Amino acid sequence: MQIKNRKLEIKGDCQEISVLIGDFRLWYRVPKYLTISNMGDPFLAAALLPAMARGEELEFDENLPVSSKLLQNAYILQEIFHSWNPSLKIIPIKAIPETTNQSNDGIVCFFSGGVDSIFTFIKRKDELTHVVYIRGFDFPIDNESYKTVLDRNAEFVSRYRKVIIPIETNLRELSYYHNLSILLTQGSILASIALLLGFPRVYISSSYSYSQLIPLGSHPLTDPLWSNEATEIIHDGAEARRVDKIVRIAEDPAALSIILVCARDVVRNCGCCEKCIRTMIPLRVLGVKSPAFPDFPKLSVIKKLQIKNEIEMIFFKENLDLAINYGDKDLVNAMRAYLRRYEMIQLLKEVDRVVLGGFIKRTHRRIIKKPSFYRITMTPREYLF
Amino acid sequence: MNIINHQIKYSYDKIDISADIDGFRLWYKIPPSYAVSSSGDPFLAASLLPAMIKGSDIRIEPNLKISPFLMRNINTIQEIHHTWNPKLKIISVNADIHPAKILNDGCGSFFSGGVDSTYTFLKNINEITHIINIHGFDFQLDKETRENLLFTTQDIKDLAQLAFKLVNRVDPVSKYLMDQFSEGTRKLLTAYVNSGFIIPERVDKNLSESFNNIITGDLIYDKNIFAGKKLRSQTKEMLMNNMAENRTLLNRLLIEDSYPKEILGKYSGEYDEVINRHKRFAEFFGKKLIAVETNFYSFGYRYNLSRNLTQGTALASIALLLGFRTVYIPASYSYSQLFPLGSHPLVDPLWSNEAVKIIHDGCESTRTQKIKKISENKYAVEHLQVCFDQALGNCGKCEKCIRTYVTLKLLNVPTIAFPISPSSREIRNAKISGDIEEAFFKENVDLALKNSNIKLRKELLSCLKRYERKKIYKDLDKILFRGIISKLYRNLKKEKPSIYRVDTKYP
Repeated sequence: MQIKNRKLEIKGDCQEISVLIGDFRLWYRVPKYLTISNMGDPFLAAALLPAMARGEELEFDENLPVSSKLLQNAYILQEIFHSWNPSLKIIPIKAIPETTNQSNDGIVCFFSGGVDSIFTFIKRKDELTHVVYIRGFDFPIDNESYKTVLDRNAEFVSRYRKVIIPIETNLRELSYYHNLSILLTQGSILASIALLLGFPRVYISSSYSYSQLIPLGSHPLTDPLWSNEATEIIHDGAEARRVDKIVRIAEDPAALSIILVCARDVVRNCGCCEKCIRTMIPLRVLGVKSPAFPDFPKLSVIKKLQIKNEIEMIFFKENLDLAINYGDKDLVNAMRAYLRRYEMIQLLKEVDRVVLGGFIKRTHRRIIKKPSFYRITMTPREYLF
Repeated sequence: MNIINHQIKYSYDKIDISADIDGFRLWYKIPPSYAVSSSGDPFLAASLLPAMIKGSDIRIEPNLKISPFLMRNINTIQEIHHTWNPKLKIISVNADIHPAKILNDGCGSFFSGGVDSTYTFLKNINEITHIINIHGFDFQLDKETRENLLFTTQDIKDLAQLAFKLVNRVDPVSKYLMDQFSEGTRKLLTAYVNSGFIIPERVDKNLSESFNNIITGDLIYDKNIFAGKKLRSQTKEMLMNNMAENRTLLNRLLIEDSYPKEILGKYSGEYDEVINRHKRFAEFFGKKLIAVETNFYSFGYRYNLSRNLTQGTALASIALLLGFRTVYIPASYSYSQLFPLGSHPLVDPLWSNEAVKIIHDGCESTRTQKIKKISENKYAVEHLQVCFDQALGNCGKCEKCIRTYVTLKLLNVPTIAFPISPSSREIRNAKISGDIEEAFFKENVDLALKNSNIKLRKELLSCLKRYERKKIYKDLDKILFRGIISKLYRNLKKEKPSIYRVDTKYP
């Protein structure tokens, strides 16, 4: 996989940096006033996982040198990803090593308006100078909605005299082009942008706490390894669980008014999807009203939740703990009833797996006839023996 | 928590580095040909977790400096442990700072002869110059103590467990001893146990004095009281010969035999053999062995911290003490098997200072891959020492021996390190003690599926199926009957109340 043909074009008040990664043209649109790194580092971050997925060597054009520190750490990164998912092969990287220089001055964190980035922002607001807002990081967003959310976030951070840097990029499309899940590439996507901007320190907000560390593209082990001589990348916030972060944010009315967690809507919180509910529960327990959310729905919504995996259940249990501590009896009863049902279903699945050899699962699949669409993610597909 | 009275004593055959931490003298003994750090870093590493469980700030005496590099990371280390187990509180460290200096040239690697340390050794063999072996139990009694029959505080290896057994009168001996103690001693012990073992001050001194009062009195032996205890041959001989004159020694032996894990017994001489074995290994590869003795684990047990929890800080404190440029800590689990552990790739490197770079090594490999790498070296394969039950040689019957033996067999590697091999029945009936063991076991099952050894594959699968069925029954009981059946089962078996140590995770 070759990295070559770097181009820089001015488009309005943006500069567009693009490069060929294999046969895919990757681009970034960055405000004109910022200095851009002319090294190959951002592209190494972007291309490493795709190259590993294909088992192809990465070769950098001679006018795209890469930081020696990053080249060394890229090997450890590969070991970690390969250990998590052996279908990601360890590949050689050919590039001219060099020492990187700082491009812009300041201390930055990525900011989406979600729980994690708001927590990091509040925690680090004394040292931060800029925040980076990436357009459509999780899902595509139309121009009007993008402007609404950007303005909202800009207004929030400007209260603390911080500057917002809007970034547009097709890094997500690059992941999908190679059939990689965003869960796997989220760390490298953020690292790529961080290395392109070349600030001396960049904070990536953690999604999970130290006690919930599962293989994930953005992880306290991997994030710092994307650093180079000029830019230090720090994984921040793993000392707090999600529920702890929400408790902290609830103390700040300005932060409460801009929170955006929704899985269904791109501009506001719908108030009934899984992600909205799991943020609204602690707010209800704390007795805090947020203008960013509609009123808490009837408790029967808990019954209809569809918690699909262990991690979402961890968040659910954290919320239940909080509800118990604050004595919200009705909510606790509703949540406990759901938990019991969930545990029964898990038990049934286990019995099916161990005693019936997976018979029920296979029959269920045949009846539902769901086409299974599978992207490469952090862990290999589970198999039964 | 106060760290004071730091001393470095040079003698003919060792250097003794020690400090007083809240009334406990923590010491390390290393061979005399090495430089040692005179900074407070090793003692900070040793005392962080005890201070966190106690919730008490650390105060280090002014002449004992701490590295500023380490001080910057001490908060992150605490955050990680606190997130894993909220019972470990975040505390502050008050100390003077001064950058650390490199002391010994070279690269060290911790070495126990097991799979992990052998793998790390072979992988980094070109860089490593010294292998470091730690001896934390059954350490040799000082000559003076051996001549004196009375107990000292240094004789108590596991204060928390001992106090627990006494206070709960778990057996006739404990009941008897508690009844003999003064009211004051009983109160002190009970308060210590009820506090969650966080106030051990004066307990060990009081206990050893109480023991001495008892052993210098009449003979304590009674057939009924000591019925359940396994007495060593010397004790049995002395009882048979009715040695009334040597009462004190006999009483002491009786107490030691009653608490083999909690009280230091007579030195068995086994440690010297272990050291010689590792020395030969080092010399074969042209490296040097550093044998370190320490009472660190007794310090952890004073606060009822598990060995798993304190493992990382134990190794870090020794790495900082020796001041090598680089020190490797062999990993026990791969990146895909990570969970809260005392020695963890996130935490270990944070104990580095300006002089010493601590590297947590080997996470890129599973246990199976490590054994494959080791099998390339005939000498290393023969030298493997994995056994849970024995310090020298592999018993071939315990869980660790069985799982290592199985992997060797499936990889067609010579099993010379296992003179006694487990039988088919033993493999089938092997106990899987938890999720961690299950992960290793599944690695073997995976290997067996690719291997043509059908017999072994069947044995492993039947063992795994048995374990999974047991788990299902437990889960069924927990969810349908709220755990009543397990409780009844435990009561029927009349299981004694067991002590739970503070571990990395909150249960």
